[in-house]
Amino acid sequence: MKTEEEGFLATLQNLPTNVWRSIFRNPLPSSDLGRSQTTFSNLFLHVHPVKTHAHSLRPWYTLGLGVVSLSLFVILAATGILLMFYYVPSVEQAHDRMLDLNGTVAFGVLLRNMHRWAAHGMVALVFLHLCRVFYTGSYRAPREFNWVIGVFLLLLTLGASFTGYLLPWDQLAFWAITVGTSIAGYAPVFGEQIRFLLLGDRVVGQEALIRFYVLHVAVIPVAISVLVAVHFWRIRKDGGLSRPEGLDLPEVQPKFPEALAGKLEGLAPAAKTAKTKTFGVMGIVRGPFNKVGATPDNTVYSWPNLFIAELFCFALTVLLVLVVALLWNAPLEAPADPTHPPNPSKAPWYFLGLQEMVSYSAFWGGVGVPTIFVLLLLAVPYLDRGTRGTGVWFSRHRILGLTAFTTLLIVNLVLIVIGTFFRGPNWALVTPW
Amino acid sequence: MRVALAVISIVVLAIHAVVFRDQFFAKWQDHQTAYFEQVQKMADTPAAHEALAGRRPQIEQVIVRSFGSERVDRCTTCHVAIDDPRFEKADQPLRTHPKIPGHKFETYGCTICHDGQGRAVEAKGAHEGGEDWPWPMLPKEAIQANCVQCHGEADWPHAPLVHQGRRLFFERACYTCHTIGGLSYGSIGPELTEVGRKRRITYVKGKIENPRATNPTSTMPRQDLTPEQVLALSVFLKSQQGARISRAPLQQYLSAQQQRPEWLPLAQIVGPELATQVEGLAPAKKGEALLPKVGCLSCHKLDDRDGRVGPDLAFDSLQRDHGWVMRHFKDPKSVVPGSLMPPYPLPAEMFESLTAYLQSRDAPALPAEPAPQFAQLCARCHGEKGQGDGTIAAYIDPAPRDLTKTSFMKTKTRERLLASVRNGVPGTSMAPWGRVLGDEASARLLDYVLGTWAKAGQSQPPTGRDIPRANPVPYSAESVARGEATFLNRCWGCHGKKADGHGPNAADISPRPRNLRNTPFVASVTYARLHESIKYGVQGTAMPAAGFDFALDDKAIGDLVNYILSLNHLGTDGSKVAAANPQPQR
Repeated sequence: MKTEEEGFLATLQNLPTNVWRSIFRNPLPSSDLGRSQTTFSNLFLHVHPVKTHAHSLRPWYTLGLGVVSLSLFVILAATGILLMFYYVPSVEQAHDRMLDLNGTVAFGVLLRNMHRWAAHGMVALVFLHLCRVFYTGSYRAPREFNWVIGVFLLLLTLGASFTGYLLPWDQLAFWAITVGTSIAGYAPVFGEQIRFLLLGDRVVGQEALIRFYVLHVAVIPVAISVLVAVHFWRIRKDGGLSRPEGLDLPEVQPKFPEALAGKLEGLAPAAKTAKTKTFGVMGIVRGPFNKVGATPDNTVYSWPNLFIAELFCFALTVLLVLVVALLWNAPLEAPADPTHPPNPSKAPWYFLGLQEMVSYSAFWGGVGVPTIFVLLLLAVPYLDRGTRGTGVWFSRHRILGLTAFTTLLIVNLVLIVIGTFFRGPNWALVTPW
Repeated sequence: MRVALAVISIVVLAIHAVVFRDQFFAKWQDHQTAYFEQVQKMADTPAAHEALAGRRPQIEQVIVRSFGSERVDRCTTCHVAIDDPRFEKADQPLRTHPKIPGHKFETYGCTICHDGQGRAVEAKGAHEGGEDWPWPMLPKEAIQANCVQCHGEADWPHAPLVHQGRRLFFERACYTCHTIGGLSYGSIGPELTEVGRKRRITYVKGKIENPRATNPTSTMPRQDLTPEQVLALSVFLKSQQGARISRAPLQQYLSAQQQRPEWLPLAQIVGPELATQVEGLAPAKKGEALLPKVGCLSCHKLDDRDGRVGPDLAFDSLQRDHGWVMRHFKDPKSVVPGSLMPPYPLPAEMFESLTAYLQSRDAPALPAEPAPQFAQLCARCHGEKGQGDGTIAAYIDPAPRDLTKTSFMKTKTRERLLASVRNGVPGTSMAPWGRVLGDEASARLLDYVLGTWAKAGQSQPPTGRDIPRANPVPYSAESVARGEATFLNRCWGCHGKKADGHGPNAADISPRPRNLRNTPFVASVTYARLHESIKYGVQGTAMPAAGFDFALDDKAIGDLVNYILSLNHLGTDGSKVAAANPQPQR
């Protein structure tokens, strides 16, 4: 009896430890083995490699832009889900619900502000991330496809922000979407149809609201999540973040004896390619680096080096979004009124470059130029097949590409600035001061 | 990195603490707690004490579904004592609301009268409703604007401000330029049917006080109004909200469908009392009673009232004949194409009365000397120093001549200048002053102008110019087409593609290029003058000597003149008239 009692007491005593251990299979790691195991056996951590190249951890190389973008997405998902509890996608109720959020709902203003500013921030940050990848030449082989995925992620981010713009159903939302979707109407042949598909009607109304809502809370977030997963997967499979060539000298020598080459003549092509690589299971992992043996070890354990950096980026993002959300209220204008367009009606800021171009030529500004721009972006890694200057900011070897990209970037920024600050009633030029 | 992470985490936590504090210790809770405490002290029975002890702060709201679209008013969350008569002297937000018979707070809510943003529970958000909220709380003195939303307006005696504003809307001629559905049909200014729904009262007030505050090129006259009148007018405008609770949807639809009538009933413009008073009066008497009430003096000057936009009416009757005045009433642009004056929506009989009154007036005494004559008659347009910058110059098109421009004044013949003073310039605001001054005084006035302002001394018109007296090219469609081609090649940069004087270069030119579609003016000048102006240019203006600069021969100039005549539908007959008669009657 006594032992049973003791045993039961011991069980109770050990209960917290046991529960803890059942959740976290490894104790807080204190050895390299422990660090590897912790990283490897946790669902959320195992997205990362056990060891990370020291170069990838340099703050001034990545600026943490990718992690910040993801952090913003996480903030947006969290605040967005909370907002969904109060929002009703109906033209009668939507605006009143905004007023309730601003007035009576607990933390409503803060949630709305955070969501609004984080959304603008994500558009900006994803774009900056794209610029970083371009300026360091990180899209080059073997990372071409990840760049393509990134471009699609940018487009999805724009889509998410644009669809969310309509939901408050105020004058700003209504007319920005009216302007934005009429830009889609300038597409040749199918322009009107695309617009109709987007709006479910000839004008922005209840149908458009429900469509934008579904796109905003279901379709686009899911698509972004999937593509983000692929994006991360590809980072690892493409050999980690880009870094300058020759960083890990001395050059790895193929260990395959020349003498053996002849015996492989009759084998399948896959086996032949293995000739310059290595034996063993790792041979099927493609990549420019020999994963086994003679690689000089410039890597550090991801726990804690990488994780703390990521956590820092996340915490900083949360802090900034919080501060901005506390300082500035998200705009909310009068309820949407289809009979009284404000003058000028402006699209969201990231489309003001388009609107500015549309004011010169509807087709070229609204459809032609943006399509060419996106196609160019998608084609970048397939056009630039060079290898010199990869993994370095503003490499002199890539002067042509850098100049072209910077020019387009500045043109777009200038157009956005003109559209935002220098356009008044009837889209006439005005001075903002 | 670890330290930075720790710092950031602590700051994030601190921010959360602030956010939670703001959320759980809101201002409105303090107000309610304060109210409960005070009521606790007043309560006299133990039962009342007990009932009060159980009360906890909570959000209060009134949902109004009976009037227009649904309203949710949470004002009573802070203003928890509005129904409690013991708090009449308390400070806001705990003061008792004065009782208004028949208006229960539970049925009507608050924002239906006061405006504001009823869903908010925080003072600034509720009272002002954020930057872009079009309906912040009405100031107490302006609340009548909302009373009439339910109570109608025409026959309800408790909204004197709205009535006064309505009278001012007509008396100050607002109705001639602005449309308010079912009330007025002006087309010069923006429509005001829903101005109360779209604009804040502060905006409306500011616009009345200074029309150019938000639009520096506004031609809306600035009225001399007392602060009380400004308030009345803004309250009246604020009450114009398009749809109205008191009006059935069908009524609203019908009033929106209403066609523009030719004229408005007099009772609507001057009010029923005055309309019945003037009935049966002699035309001149009627005109005298009505002239200050229908809005003329919002722009024009008469005796001691001056709208500072239009000419002085005191001399009008003496300068213009009856037909001119009547035509001008019906459509001012038919006699002065650049006129700013709106066509008046009054019956012709009213125009007769007004004209009769003006013509029955005695001529104001005129000083004998030219200098005071100039100050009294000319300075209003031409400026005190003759620079063409008089009080009302900005509203006049074509603009008054700058009399100090020696190069212009010196090169025109004395006969032409004297004709302008004596007979006026048709199609412009220059009136025939000879009818007031007589020929001799006109000549003396001209000498005074030439001597004092123009510093021209003796006029020295250029001599030796070769000008055909009649058009060498007969009027024909081909000639007009050739003239148009030349015009679109050489002239449109200043005169505009429509020849209305508004070409792309026009803004930089002073005096402005002539509006060649000003039919009364074009019909009044001789062929020779048009030909001379084109061939040799107009000295003292930007008009170049096109005959030489552009190598246009007399025939090409003839084509151009034919084109100008065709624009004014003067055609062959017109050109004959213009060639034969220097002052044709239209």
